[in-house]
Amino acid sequence: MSVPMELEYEKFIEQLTDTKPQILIFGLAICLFMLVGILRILFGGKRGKSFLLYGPSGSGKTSLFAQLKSGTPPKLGTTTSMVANEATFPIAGSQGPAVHVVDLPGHPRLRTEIDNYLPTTRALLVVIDSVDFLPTARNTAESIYELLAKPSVQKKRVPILVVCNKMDRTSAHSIEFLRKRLEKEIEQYRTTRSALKDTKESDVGGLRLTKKNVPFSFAICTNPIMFCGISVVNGDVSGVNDFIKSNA
Amino acid sequence: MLDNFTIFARGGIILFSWSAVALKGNPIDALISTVLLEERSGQQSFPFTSGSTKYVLKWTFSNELGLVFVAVYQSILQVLYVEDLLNQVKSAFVAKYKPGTLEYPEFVDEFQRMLNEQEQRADEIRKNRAEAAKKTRSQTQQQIQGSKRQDSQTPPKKGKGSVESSKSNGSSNGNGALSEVDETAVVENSSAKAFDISKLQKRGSNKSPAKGKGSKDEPPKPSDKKPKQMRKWEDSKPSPDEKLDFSVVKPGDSADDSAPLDRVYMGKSGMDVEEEEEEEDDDEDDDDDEEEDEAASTGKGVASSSGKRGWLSSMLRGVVGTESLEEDDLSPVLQELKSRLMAKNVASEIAEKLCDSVSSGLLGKRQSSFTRVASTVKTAMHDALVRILTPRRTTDILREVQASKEKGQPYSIVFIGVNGVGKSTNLAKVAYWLLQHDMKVMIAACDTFRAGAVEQLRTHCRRLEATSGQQVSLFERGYEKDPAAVAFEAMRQAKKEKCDVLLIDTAGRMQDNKPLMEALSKLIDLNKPDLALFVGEALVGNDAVDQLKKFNAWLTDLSTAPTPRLVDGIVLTKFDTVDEKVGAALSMVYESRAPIMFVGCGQTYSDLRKLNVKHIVSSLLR
Repeated sequence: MSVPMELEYEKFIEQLTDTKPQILIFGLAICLFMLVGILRILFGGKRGKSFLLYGPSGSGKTSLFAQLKSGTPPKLGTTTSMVANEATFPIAGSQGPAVHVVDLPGHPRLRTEIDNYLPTTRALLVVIDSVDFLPTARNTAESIYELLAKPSVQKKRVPILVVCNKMDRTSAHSIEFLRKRLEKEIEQYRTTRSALKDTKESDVGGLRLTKKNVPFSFAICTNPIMFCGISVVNGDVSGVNDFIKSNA
Repeated sequence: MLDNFTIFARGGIILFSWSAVALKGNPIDALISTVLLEERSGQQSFPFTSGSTKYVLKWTFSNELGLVFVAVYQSILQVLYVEDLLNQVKSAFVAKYKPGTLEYPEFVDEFQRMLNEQEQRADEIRKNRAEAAKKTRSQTQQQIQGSKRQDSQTPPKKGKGSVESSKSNGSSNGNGALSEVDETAVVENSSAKAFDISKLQKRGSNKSPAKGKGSKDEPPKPSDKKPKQMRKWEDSKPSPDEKLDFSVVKPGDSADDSAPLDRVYMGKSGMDVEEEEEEEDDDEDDDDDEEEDEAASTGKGVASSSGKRGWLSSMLRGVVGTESLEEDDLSPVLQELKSRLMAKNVASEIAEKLCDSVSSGLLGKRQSSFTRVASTVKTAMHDALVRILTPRRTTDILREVQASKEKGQPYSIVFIGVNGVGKSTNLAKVAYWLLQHDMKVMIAACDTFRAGAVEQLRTHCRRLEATSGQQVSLFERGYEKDPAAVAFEAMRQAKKEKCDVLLIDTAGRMQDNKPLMEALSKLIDLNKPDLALFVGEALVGNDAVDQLKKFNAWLTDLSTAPTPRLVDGIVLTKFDTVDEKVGAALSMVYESRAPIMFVGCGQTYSDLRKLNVKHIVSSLLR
C-alpha cells in the first residue's frame, strides 16, 4: 500500500515542479478564496439560529417566552427583566427541530443587550403592547427604528415579526392602526436621527429602504416585516408559532 | 406586618409570591428599575410611595441561581425580622429551586411556617421585654422616686425647677405618667443616676403637653400603653438627644413604636437626591443599635432582651461571615478597579458605590471554569457602566421639538450650571445645530447678572444668522431684571412669533449660593421648560457630584410644585480637553440618573456631539 502512495506523491511533486509558478499562485489564490468563503458562510453573513424577542418594557416578552416554552403563561406574572432569558425548545405543533429563543430585557437601560445576540439571530420578534400603545408609541417607534438601522439587521435581511400582544382586551388597538402609527413615527425619526455625530466620530447609520424619496412604510424595508396579533393571557400565540416554524 | 414577599428570577419570571394584602402600585418593578438596574444594589432598603401608602422594600440575591428575594412592608411598621426572614427563606428556597420549574406551590406552607416562626420570635422578644419592664418596675420605681427626691433637694439650676415640678405633677397625676417614668427608667437604669435624672426631666417636659390626652385613653394594662405614650413625646420633639434615647428603647418593643423615626427618615429622602443621607441614616441606626447593645449588656434590668438581641445580631453576623469568604476574592480586584476608575476622574464616592453594587451582584456567584476573578469582575463592571450610561429617555431632541411643534408650542430648553462651564457657548452650538435642521430658534437672555452676558448672546445671534442665513431672534430685557419674568415673557414672545425652540440662558451660579438658586427654582417652576439641561465640564472631578446633587436638592427643596422639576439632561462640555479621563461623564450620569444629551468638544459651532457609550466605557476601563 505504501509504495504506490509514495509513487503517486512523487509524481505529484514532479507535476508541481513542472507547472509554472503563475499557475501555482493562481491555484493557491482560488483555494484561499474558497476557504474564506466557507468561513464566512460558517461564521457570518448567514443568519444564526436564535429568535429574539424584543420590545419595550411591559409588552409581554417574558410571558410570551414562558408561553412558547411551557405552553402556559407564568401564573404569578412577571417583573421587569434584568437579564435575558434564553432556552432551546421545540415549538408547539411542529415536528421540526428545537429552536433557540431569547427573551431580551425591555428596560431602556438594557437596550444594548441585543448587540450581544444579533450575530446569531435568525429572526426578530418585536413585541408591542396594543392596549397601552399611544403613550409609548414614540419610544416603541424609536426602538424599532434603532433596530432597523442596525447594519447587521439590514445586511442579513433578518425577517421581523411585529407581535401585537394583549389583543384579547376590548381597548386594544387594531393591527392596522398600530402599523400606520408606527410608520408615521418612524418616518419622523428618519429625519431627526443621524443628525449628530458621536464622540467617536463614527456616523450613525440610517435606514436603508428599497425605494428612495417616499415616506417610510414597512413594505419598503429591506427586511421582510410582518404583523400579527396575539394574546398571551389567552394562550393564543399561533401567529408567533407559525412565524417561527416558517423561519426555523 | 409583612405585606408581600416575592421571589423572582433575574429574567423576570415570578417564581413565588406571598401577599397579605394586595400591593398598591408596583413597588417591585420600581425597585428593579430604580435600584437594581441603576447599580445601587449596595443600598440597604428602598422606600416606595404609592399614593398615601409608603412601603419599604428589602431584598437579597442568590447570585448563583440568579434569584432575587424581595420583602415589602409598610414603612409605618418596623418589621424587625425582615433580614432574618429573607435569609431563611433564601436558604430554604435555594434548596428547592429547580431550573425550569416556574411554580412552587408546596413552598407556600413552608414560607408560612417560617413567617410565623419569625413573627412568634418577634412577639416573644416583645413579651420578654414587657415582662422585664414589669419585673423591674417595682425596683426602678423606688429608685426613681428616691433619686427624684434627691434631685429636688439639690438646688435646681435655672429653668430646671419648672420642669421638675411639671414632672412631679405628672407622677402624682396617676398611673399613665408613672408607667412612662418606669419605661424610661428601665432603659436608663444602667447609666449613672444623675444622667438618668436629667433625661427624665427632659422627657417629663416633653411629655407634659400630651399628658392630658395620654391619661384620657388609658388602657387597662399599663404595659400595653407604654409604646403609645412613647410615640407621642417622640413626635412632639425630635431632638438628636431624643433620637438616641428612642433607639435605646427599640429592641424589645413592638413595631409600631418606631414609626416616628421611620417617618422622619422617609421625609428626608428626596426624589433622587439624598442617596447619601439615606445611607448615613442607616449607619446612624446601626450605631444606635450597637450602643443599645452595649447599654443592654451592661444593664441588669434588660438582661433577657439583650440576650435575644445578641442572638439576632450574631445570626446576622454569621451570614455576613459566610459571604466574606467570597468577598476576600473580590475585594482586591474591586480595589484595583476602583482606583483605576478614580484615576479616570470618576468621583470617589461614585466609584465606591459602583464597586459595592458590582460586588453585591457577584457575591456567591459561581465562577465559570477557566475564568479569573479579575476578568469576571471586569465584565460585570463593564456591563454595569454600559447600563448606567445608556439613557433611559430618548436623547433625540429634534424629535421632541417636532412633537412640540405639532402641538403649536415652542420647545423650551433651559441651560443651567455653575460659572464658566460654557453654558452660553453650548447654547449657541445647540442653536446652530437646530438651525441646521430648519428649526426657528429664539434665544432668551436670562443672565441678567453678569456684565456682558446679553451682549455676548447678541454677538452669537448675529454670527448664527450669518452662518445659517436664518433669523435668530434674541429676547432680552437688559440687566437687573428678574430672570423668571424675562423667561416668562420670552415664552410668550416665542409662541407669538411661532418659534420652534426657545433656548434660555441663565446666569452661572455656584451650587451653594442660595439666593441665586432660589431665582433658578423660581424660573423653572414658573416657566416649566420642556428640558432642563445641566451644563457641566468634563474637567471636573469630585465636584461634579456635589454640583449636580446640590442643584437637584435645591430644585427639590425650593420648588413649590407638587412634583419638582429636576435636571433632565446633561451637556458635557470641554470634552476635548480630557482625553481619556472621561470619569466626569460617569459621575454626573450616576448622580443625576439623567442622560448626557450633548457633548461639547471644541470651540466652533459645529463641535457638538452625541455620547458614544461604548467609547466612554472602554476608555474608563482601559
